[in-house]
Amino acid sequence: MELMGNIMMTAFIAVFVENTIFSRALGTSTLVVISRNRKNLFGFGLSVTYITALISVLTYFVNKLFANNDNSYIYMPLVYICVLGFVYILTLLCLWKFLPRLFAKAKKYVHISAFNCAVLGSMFLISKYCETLSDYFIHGLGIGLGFVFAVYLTAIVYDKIYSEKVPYPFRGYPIMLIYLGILSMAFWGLSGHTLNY
Amino acid sequence: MNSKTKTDFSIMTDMLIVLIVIASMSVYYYGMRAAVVFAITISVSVATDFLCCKLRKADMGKDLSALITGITLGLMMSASVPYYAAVIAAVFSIVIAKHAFGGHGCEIFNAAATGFLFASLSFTQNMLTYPKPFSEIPMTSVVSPDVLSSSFTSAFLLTESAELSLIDVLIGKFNGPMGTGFVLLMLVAVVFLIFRRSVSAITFFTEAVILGIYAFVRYDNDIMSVIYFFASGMLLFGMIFLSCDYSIIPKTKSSRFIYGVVFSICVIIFHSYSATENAAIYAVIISSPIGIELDRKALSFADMIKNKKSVFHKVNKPLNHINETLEILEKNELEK
Amino acid sequence: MIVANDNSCKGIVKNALLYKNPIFVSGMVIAPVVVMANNFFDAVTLVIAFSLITFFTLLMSSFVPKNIVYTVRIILYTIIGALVYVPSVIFLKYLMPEGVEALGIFFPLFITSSFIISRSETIFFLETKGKMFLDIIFCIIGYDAAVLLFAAIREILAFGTICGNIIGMPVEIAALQNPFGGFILLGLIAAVFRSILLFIKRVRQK
Repeated sequence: MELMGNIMMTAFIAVFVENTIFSRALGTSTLVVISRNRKNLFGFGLSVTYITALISVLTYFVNKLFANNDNSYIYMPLVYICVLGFVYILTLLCLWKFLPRLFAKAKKYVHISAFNCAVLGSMFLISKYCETLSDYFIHGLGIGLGFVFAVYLTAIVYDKIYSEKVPYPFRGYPIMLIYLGILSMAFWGLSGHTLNY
Repeated sequence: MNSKTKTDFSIMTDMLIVLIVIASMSVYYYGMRAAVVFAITISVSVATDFLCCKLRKADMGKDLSALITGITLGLMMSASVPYYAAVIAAVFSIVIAKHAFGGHGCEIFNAAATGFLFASLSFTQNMLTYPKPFSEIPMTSVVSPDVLSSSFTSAFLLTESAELSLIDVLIGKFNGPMGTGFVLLMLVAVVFLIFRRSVSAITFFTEAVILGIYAFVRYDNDIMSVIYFFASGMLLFGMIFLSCDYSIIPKTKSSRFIYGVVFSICVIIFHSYSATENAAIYAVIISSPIGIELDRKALSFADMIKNKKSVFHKVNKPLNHINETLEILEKNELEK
Repeated sequence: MIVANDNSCKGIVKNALLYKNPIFVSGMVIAPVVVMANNFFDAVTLVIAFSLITFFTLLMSSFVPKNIVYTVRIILYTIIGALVYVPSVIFLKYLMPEGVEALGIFFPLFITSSFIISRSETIFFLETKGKMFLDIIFCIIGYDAAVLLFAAIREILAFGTICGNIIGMPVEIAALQNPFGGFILLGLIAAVFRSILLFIKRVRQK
């Protein structure tokens, strides 16, 4: 029961309190791009969550292997990118082999859901804060879900922020930033403290 | 078209009447400084609204929303709030939360709540300390911290108990924002507004029941604590004037119910997880975009059902004559 | 959207600096700006780090053969980025250790920035290497100028200082120091920027 509570709490923190978009703004550019299209949202969310969850487990092992000296910060990004590339290719190959129909659909957004600041950022963040394998996994999953939550919150107001009624200078991108700002202002109340980067 | 505008306008007049009554009560409690704060928030709101309308070349029409935002903002402030903070809150409300999103009827967030939150995060020290009711408050812009103390809410959150008589709580005689603590007056106001159909009864009662049960469980069935809970942190005020704001509330019955549930859950999360004072403000901001989605879902669901069975459509019939809902409905009609 | 529609050198420069400004119009790599560009000095560090990584990565990416499939190409771009990161971080750590410390995880994140991912593709469509070079240079300049301008405005409003010198602003809006303040201010400035562009266009048409 206690374990379950801990897991819930960690996931809650990762999704809401330390939401990648609302507290650290990671992957905002991807959000700006992806929320323009409501259709791919579900698939995109699924693939981001899948990638962050899988990556977080791999990050654990990679960190155990490579990140054990003071100069690791120099080459770790390269290692992480290689891991990311490996997962990306593996996913595409699996899809192509076993689910060709899904592959045709997923092809459009898998690259943007793998190579974005939220995913790479999640690798750096979890290696900073987590210790055990389960911690890594839950945090990774939570970061993915949190990102999807933020994308969802942006996509539901798509009609409003691209509406004719919004004054032209604000329409689209500027008002989306303001919208994100106001939401992160509200989520800020949940953490109420400065986060480390 | 005329009847639609009239209804929208009459909701605003009802709100305005109630807000003016509460505002005069707070002027009675806090004296001249309260009046000055109200004068600032109202005049800045209305002036900024006028300027924005001119800039956008938009028609102001019968729009009282800037006035309502101004008074609501004033009610949420401490009586000792620095004047510049009141000005910034009002400008932020009107420019960013209202006109940047397209003006009246297009807002995503409640303007007053957004402006207040921005100002309170900018000037935390000055905005969240309060003078005692019926005390002398200097008229300077920044009031010295000697006459100020933290709110009843923060004490209640810390100790989970308060030494305040029932009468004092009901008439709002405790440290806190100027106009959010008058429990009795609020109750009368909500009855009036519900009877005038200016506030959604569904949303209000959903929130009241869920939050009431939460408070009962949390405070071990202690009635007094439940009353403290509703009086503190602008909760009752937020439930009536912020979450049931006609411009952001969903337009169909079923989505109003779910919206009430979402709002209550947000309040509960903020209340139990974070140490923040005004959970209702945060909750109303987070739940309002979800309300938009609920409306969309409800309308498309109703449409789907209507093709098979017309009875179900009653569940989701639009309540407020807000132009947007009608546009959606008209579009649906045309498509058929 | 207002865009200069020609692929001439002048059009490329105009687009990069104004009509498709990476920060104010296209919204690329805004995370570090929103979070870190709190004051002018931090912005300078940010700009130097960004320019170093992006310039060399894009330059080297332009040599990646076009006939490789996009799936593999995108991995190559990011690997090049990670390779460029190694000398950049060593150099900057030597030059300004505190600045790199302050950038934290945002420094390595430039590798997968949307700028590199999208720009490395679009420059393929430009005919000559010269134009490609011009596009890269001016996009980076456009980004840098926008970040510095944004950080300067933010510092004045949030701290009441310019480069750390107090200038006696009547009110300091502390909320703008936080990421949410960065979002809101960036949105506002982007709107103002767009209306200025619109104004210029109208004046020209008259």
